[in-house]
Amino acid sequence: MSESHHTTTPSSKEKRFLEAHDLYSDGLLRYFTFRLSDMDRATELVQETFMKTWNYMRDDFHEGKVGGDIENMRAFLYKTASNMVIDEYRKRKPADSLEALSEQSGFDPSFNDTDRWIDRLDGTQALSLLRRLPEQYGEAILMRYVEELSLSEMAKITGESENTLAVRVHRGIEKLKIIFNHEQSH
Amino acid sequence: MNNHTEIIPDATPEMKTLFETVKKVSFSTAEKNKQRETLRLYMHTPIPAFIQDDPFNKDTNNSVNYPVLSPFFPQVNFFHSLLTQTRFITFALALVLVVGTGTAFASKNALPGDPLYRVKLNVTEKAETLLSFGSQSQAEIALLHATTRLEEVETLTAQGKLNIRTSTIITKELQPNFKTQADSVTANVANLQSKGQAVVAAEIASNFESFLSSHQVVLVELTQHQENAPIHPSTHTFLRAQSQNEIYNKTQNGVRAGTQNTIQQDTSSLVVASTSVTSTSVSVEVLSSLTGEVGTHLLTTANARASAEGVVAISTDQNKIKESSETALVVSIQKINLASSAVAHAISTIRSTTASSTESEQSISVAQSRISSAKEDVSAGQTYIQTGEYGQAFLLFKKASRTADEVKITLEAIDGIKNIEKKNSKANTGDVPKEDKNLNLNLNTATTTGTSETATTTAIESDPAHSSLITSEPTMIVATSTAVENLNTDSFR
Repeated sequence: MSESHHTTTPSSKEKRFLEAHDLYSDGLLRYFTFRLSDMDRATELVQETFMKTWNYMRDDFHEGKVGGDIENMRAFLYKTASNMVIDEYRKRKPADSLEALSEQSGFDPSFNDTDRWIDRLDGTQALSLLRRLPEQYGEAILMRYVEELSLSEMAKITGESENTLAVRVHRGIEKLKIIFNHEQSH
Repeated sequence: MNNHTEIIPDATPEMKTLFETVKKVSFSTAEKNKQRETLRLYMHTPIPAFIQDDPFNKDTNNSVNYPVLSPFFPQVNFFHSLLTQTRFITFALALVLVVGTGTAFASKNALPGDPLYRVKLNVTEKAETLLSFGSQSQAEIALLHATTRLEEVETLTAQGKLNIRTSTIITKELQPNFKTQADSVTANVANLQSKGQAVVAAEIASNFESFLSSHQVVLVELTQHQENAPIHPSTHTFLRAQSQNEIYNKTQNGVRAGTQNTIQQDTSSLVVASTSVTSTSVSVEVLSSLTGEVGTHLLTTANARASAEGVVAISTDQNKIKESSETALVVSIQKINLASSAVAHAISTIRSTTASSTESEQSISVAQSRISSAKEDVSAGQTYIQTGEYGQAFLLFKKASRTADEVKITLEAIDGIKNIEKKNSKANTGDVPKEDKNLNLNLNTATTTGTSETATTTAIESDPAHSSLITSEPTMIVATSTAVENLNTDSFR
């Protein structure tokens, strides 16, 4: 690593930021892939999320300005990410509907011959199975069970109340059960 | 971290498996490290984010370059803004329209030392780079630029124009540019591979490897000729078969051996060998340093190529690898045919010139033996295809393609150099009066033919009455009319 040309050792802020990158970039990749079903774009957006977050944190953003303080780094990152997804939706042409995109990515495994069909999915396939749920439920399940965020963190990110989110998680699980039974009976 | 007092429903074991599977969607360690490095760089970049050296005010005498704010004013990521914000594309197109039609076109063939050379490097090629999107096209354009750099040096040397002034330009501008372009190829190839486009990555890396290895051979040969005959570079002939073989074997052994250590040892010895050549003049030093640079990048590219090909060869998708190997077979046969016709052309060139040397014949026989070894690789690969070992077949076809490419590129480069030298020696022995040399160089005619006939046409074309229309540039008029006078006296003598 070429750190020699930096005059100072990384400040605690920088250290915290890079640690956050190591810890949460995978989760953000899954989040963007789930929302956009485009892994390449998701990769770019993860990078941008961190850059935007650093722009908020950094001290020298404008001359003499002290950078913003982030209480819960993870929630902040996801909040930034969800805003970026909204921007991304706005930028897209109507033709690029998510349904069309998920059809393009092609999720049609036939799992009728074993009872543990779920074992044969790869990560992207599993993610597109979650995408079969209504988006709000799928998002709630992803955050709660895959990323293991707490309901209060999820509330900070989505702006919904914890109650609403608990209901969404619950209904999402119910709907997932239906999908599972459906796949198995086929 | 989680607050477990919240009421959450139970997931079935199957669902838990599903959630664990979703977690497999993640970055590879390499991707993560790369992103981390990008972020670290970004963190230490003062806002506004991207500051660059002013490309239009590069002062080579003064090593200090004054940074200016990038005119593109990026918000997050320069290339991303280019893609998403149409006004930048408009700006780039406008730039190409304004510059592209006249100066940039004229600069296309500029060599170090020409007035337009800097335009070529900093405007034309930069615009080309900026207008290529996606790793593949960026890698291809960088590959083109990198090989152009090497060809420029070869042409310059063959023309006998390698003097102190052009040497400085080579060290200060050409070689750094070559390095940048070569690094860009490597970076984009790595990028393609990490995005799962290993076939494309292998293709580009393989092409680049052939180019580098062929031009390395040519450069080494040119260096030796500079040493032996620094005054009359135009007398030299084809490659010495011996040195070609030696370099070829060293590189090939290093690459084929597979282990990182061997490759490094081998190529570092190669680099040392090419740089430790006793420097009798500045030009030799310059050429050696460039050859060393080429050697370093050859190593990197060979590694990248081997890794990308490895990914393709061990792919579990039988259909995909079958398809790749079949394409590779067709390509390798085409390339072998091209190389064979290049050899045939070289042989006919030798026969047509009276001074056929043993050296050139040796180099032809080396080329022929390499082509037959490529053919052997192809037939061995076909056997593998029959037994269904597509991975092995793919590797062999790729190797054959590379060998054929190297033969073709080397022969073509030598042919080009010989042609230039022939023209040069004609120009030197031709009946161009000495006092006219300077003028002719300015008008860019004597460098190609050096006869007074062309000088006459130029004189007619640049009619004094016509040139007097240019009122804004009085010095230019004086210069042009003097030039025309000189030409007239010369051509009617």
